[in-house]
Amino acid sequence: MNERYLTNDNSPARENLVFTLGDEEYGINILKVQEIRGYDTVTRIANSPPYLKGVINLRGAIVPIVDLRIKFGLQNVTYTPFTVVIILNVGQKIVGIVVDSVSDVIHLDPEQCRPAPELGGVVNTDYVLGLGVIENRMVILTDIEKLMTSHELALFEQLSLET
Amino acid sequence: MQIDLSQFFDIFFEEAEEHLATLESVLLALDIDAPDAEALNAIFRAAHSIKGGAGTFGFTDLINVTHQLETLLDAVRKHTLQLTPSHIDTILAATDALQDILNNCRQGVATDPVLIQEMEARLRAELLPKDVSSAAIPVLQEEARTHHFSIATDGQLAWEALLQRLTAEPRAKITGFPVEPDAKDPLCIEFLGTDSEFADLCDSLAFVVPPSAIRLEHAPPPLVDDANSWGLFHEETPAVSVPPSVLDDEDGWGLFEDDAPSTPPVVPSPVPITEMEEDDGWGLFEAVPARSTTSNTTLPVTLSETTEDDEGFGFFTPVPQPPSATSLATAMAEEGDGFGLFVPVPLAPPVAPPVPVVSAPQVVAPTAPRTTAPTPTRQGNNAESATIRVNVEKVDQLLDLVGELVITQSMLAQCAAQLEQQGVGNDILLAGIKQLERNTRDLQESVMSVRMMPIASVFNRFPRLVRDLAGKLGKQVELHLEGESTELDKAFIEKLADPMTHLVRNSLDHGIESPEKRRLSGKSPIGHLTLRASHQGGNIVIEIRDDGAGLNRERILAKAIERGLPVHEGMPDTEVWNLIFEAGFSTAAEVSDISGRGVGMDVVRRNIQEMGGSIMIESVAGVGSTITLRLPLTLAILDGMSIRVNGEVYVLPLTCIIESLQAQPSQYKTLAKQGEVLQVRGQYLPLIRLADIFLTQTEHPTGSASLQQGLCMIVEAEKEMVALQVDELLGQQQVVIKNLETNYRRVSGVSGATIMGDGRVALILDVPAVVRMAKNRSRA
Repeated sequence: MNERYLTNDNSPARENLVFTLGDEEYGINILKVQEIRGYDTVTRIANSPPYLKGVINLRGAIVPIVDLRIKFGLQNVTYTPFTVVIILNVGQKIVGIVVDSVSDVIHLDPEQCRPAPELGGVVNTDYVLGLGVIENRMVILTDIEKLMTSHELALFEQLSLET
Repeated sequence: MQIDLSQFFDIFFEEAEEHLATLESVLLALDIDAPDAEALNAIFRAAHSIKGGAGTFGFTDLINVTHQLETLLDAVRKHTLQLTPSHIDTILAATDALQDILNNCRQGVATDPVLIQEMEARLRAELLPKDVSSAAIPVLQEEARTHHFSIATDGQLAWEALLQRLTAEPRAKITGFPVEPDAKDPLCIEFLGTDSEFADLCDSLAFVVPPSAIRLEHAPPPLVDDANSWGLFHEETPAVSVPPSVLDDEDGWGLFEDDAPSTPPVVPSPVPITEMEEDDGWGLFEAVPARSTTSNTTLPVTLSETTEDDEGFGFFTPVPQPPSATSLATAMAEEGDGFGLFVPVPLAPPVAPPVPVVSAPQVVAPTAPRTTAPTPTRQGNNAESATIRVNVEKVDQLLDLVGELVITQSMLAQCAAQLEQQGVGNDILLAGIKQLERNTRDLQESVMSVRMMPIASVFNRFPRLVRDLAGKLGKQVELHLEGESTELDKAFIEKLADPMTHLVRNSLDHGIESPEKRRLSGKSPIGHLTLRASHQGGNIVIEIRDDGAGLNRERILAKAIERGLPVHEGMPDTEVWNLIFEAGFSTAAEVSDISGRGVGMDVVRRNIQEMGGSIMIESVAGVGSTITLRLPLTLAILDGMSIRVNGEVYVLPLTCIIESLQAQPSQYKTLAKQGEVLQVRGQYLPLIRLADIFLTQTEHPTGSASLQQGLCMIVEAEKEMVALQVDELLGQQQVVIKNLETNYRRVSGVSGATIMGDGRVALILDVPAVVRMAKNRSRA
């Protein structure tokens, strides 16, 4: 029942950082998270897709910021002092994602995980590892590394080469 | 104390390679008919240093070959051998062999002994006088005679190497072994040969064991057992001779011992002591040449037993190290009156009567420290080097840190400026910040310069390459190097070597014609190849120019058509030449081992472009071709002009800016309603509005009003001048280039990013790319 979840991650239970995009809750492996910070002014990069807000200076490193809300077509994309950026470590790279809010860190046991349904939320099911159920909450467990390095986002060179 | 030498292997390999490179370059620059003495010495020193290092680390293959090489070079250096081209060839071959051996040593692989023997034999053969009238005779005329030595070392390690070396020396015979392998007794050997051969042996032994660990000197063996004659004042080398009996008795060479007292001092044999007691005022003269000493620890003992009642007993102490000197002085002070501690006078004739320099004990103590002064530090002598080796990573890290410092500094400067505006400025704060700014800039420049190396290290490989290739191809080529001292970033130096080698090979193989052909076309039979490096603005320009046949336009076009490339007869030359950068493109009729396979030029171009540079070909049939490489000065820091375009800050590399001007509306012209040009002093320059390039259409506040308010920057991109229209100039500053690709990907029109004084990111414009983007846009 938890096969998909288990094959993707050997540990049956793990800590997940939960953030919200619109009305949905998403969980990502907390080990991929470097830090959480407020949204700051970004430097826009010309001729880049709209979801790529630009780059910021993260203590000397130039880090691209992706607004997942724009990427997944959510309404009400506003930037307030409370807008949150999650800085992720994916592969060898550092990327920031903008989400609506970060709620909490949850621990999920294997029996709390359900396989991903064919029809997911705003995030393509390819990147969904499964569903985490805690009482009456449902958290969409996302393979954030796969998502960020995907061809779809075209964030990194090796995956965005013209074919 | 055992030291793991292997940790120094890498340093040795690097140094040996440098020495080999020096050897080769000096050799190639040598005028065979009238060799420069200093150059010959430099070559010899290089070989010598390799041998020295190899000896220390026990790379016997290297020692053997370098030894023969050194012998040959020495003969040349001393003018006993007239240098001939064949010598040069042999020496070059030897450097190649050494390089191979070195590589093998590095990988821990044994080198084929046959190769080594062949090389040694070849070197030895060169040494044989082919012409009897040659000046080699005087050396041989030197009288051969028997030398006797005593050799002392300080450890077993040295012994093994020493014995190995000595048994390999046919002229040396070991006459006396130390009793125990690790005893401090000297080894006595007999050596039959001339003085100069003896000097050679001394040299070569110094390589087997560290010079500081051994002491080698003439010794008179027949006199050893004869107490009366003592051998102390041996005629040949009075100043350095030490009686073997004394040597035998002593506990090694105290000066080289870390802690001699652990070994019990041996009381000298009764014979000399008796003699000393009988002879009033007899001095035990320890000769004190730089390298000789006796064990300090034994001395007080000896003295206390033998000299108690001797008034005015003179004792010439060798130069002891401070602690022993003090203990010596104390010990002596206790002995009572009349005891003199003599400050050593190394060159004083040993037969001189003892002079009681100091007789009162209270004076002894203060003078004792003075005795330490004359000892030259043996290790410091030759290790005094003007350079240090540092891992490049460390330098890069330093550079990053300095970059951060620059950012912090400009942040502070902005804060101070704001305070000033608010009327709460503080003069001291401002002055301090100004000072900080200057210091930061100096620091940044210094750190940058650490990474800079003269391009000579790339160029230096070419004399050899050209010589070999020209020989192989039967061509006569003269190589000229210009601007070798031009400095560029170390990262470039490493990356430049391969592309340049390709280009030079190409020039030789395809460019320069054979002597007959050249004569037929009315040129000098000797082809000229020039490598020139220079600074041009903020770029390093490297030219590879030959006076050969030039590129063959028809052949290239034909080949391009054959390969199905989109070409036509009317193409401009520059575009035709660029075809040779296509992968797999070669017009060479036949493939040789030098070039013609068609791999290479595309790789060359890619390599150069990866370095942020460009490559350009100019060629005239029958006259020659010039390939120009243009590289940025450095990878890490850029002098930039910050500009504002529609509220966003960008950085333009200062190097491409020619001027900036406030254009009048009358200067704007349109071309066919599409392109715009700017008239500047009679020239019409294509006008690019940066806002067009960097803004999406929806955000674009077009209109000639904004255009005319703006400033125009005249920039040069790939030998083409264009005008860039910007909103505002913010100022000039040095910026630290940050790679966008570290966490993101390449962005067209942008070469990198930097962090401005306020901590925000600004993009650095890639002007040539911007120009290309603008062209594509107007075409579309």
